[in-house]
Amino acid sequence: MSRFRKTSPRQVPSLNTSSLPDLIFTLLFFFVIVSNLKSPIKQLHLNIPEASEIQSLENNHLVNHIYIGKLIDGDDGNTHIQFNDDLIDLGDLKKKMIEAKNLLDTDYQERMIVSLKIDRNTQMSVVKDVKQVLQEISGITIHYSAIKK
Amino acid sequence: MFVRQRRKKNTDILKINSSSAADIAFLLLIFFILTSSLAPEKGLFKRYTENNTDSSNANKQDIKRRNIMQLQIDKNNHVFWNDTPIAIERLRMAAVEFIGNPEDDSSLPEKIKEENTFLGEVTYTKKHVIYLAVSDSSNYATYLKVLNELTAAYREQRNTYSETVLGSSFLSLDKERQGEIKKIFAHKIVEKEEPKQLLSDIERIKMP
Repeated sequence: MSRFRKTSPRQVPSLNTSSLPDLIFTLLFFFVIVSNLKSPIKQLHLNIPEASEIQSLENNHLVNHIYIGKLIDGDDGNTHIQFNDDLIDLGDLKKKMIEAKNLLDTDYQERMIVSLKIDRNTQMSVVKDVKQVLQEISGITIHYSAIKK
Repeated sequence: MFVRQRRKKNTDILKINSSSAADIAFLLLIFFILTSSLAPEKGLFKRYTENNTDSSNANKQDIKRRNIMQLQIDKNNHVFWNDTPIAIERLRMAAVEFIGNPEDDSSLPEKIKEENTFLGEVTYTKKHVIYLAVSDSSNYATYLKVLNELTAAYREQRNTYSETVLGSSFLSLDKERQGEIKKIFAHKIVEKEEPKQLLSDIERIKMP
């Protein structure tokens, strides 16, 4: 009996929290994968002008982007048009716009927004041609991208 | 007989205190959540409605000269207002005066009385039109500046109207009244192709 030492008063064993960071990292990776940051590939050199009367554009599914400017690599002096991710000709713009419009739900089709990011030194002839195409398609709101003055 | 088993000497295991690893992970998580919806794009909105697309010719016959503000951007990026050059800084003031016509000047758009469901009786320049002719060789930057000044002019006029007639600033009004004032002072900017087209339209127009 003397060989058995009286055990010291038992304490509640503390929680082993060594795996808590693992859990947090799992949650983090979940968010990384779920939230997709859309950053379209920019092939055109864009120097956006400034304006004071700007309002923010919620980057939602109704927005399509049109970029107008000169090419970043292989600049041939011409102004090019990029619709979302691809460089296109003016003649194809209307078709692509209608395609994009049809991709939306019918309820949202008349509320499509087109964000125009145009280099400040672009000739107005190109801009006017693009606007002409957009005007022919009804129900489009145009958003001219600008930096806060 | 008891055999005393000699236990191996316990080597001290160096433990890194990992209690702060969880804090670092939390910080990273919160940072990521915040930055994923950062920096919405900003710019000028322009909605193409009946007011500013090239609508029916019938309307043009009834436009009086006083109701028209003719703006032109030529190939050298100079802005002309009714054929006189104007600096862009002065454009906003000129446009506010045109849209509002506070003193009921007869060379500026005529003011018309109307009944409005939310605002009662309103007197405003219902028939005013701003024609904007942009040369093909002008810069986009100039065009955007002009558009900016016109948008600012409409905003200022809306605010002036709500302050003088309704007694409070535009932003402090309720949504219905804001909507009505936005409709009354909707952007009436018609973008025409060439100045020649503008002049031929004006020739068809009755003089006051």
